[in-house]
Amino acid sequence: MKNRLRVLRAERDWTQSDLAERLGVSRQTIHAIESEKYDPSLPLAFKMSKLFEMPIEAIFNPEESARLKSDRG
Amino acid sequence: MERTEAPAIPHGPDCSPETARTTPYLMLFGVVYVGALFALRFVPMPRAAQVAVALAPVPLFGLYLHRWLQAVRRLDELQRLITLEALGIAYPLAILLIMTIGLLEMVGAIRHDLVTYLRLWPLVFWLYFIGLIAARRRYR
Repeated sequence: MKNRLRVLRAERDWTQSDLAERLGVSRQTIHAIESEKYDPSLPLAFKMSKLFEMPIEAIFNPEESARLKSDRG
Repeated sequence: MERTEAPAIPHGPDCSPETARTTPYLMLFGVVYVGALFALRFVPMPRAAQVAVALAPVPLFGLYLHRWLQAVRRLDELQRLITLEALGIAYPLAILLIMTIGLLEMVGAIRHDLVTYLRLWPLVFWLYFIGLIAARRRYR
């Protein structure tokens, strides 16, 4: 799933480790989400939403991801 | 500007701090297992004592398994998924291995003195790590 995690993290000058610590997950998980190889669970997505003080749909964009997949077809 | 750091090194649950804490228990099991092997091979003892020595590693492996499961429960969601995928690969591979050996045994293509349970179980153990490598690559 497309997401803005890397951008949001950079805006706050956080490293992957910083973000991982704030969310209570491993840096590997942050890396996998940023590289769009793993979609977080709903509870983790809500944690991110709370941390960045924005709705989940402002962080994740499933429609764009679905469109890209269908374009690759 | 974004602070930089070394690229994330994808690590599996086997080398996370949580599961690394279980290593002493695995080592303890290993020491008792090797001790039991040595004793059964070289120390003369009555039959009942042999059975007791042969079963001695079992509770220690049980302890290790208990600690490992506790550690897995403390992993984050992606690490747990990787562990599940690793086991999902290792388990069918273990079935395939044992089934194939059984069939080869039927046709006499395997020497019983070469393929024994003592030599087979470490191989099954390593299948987990094959699964772990495969699962980790997926999320790298």
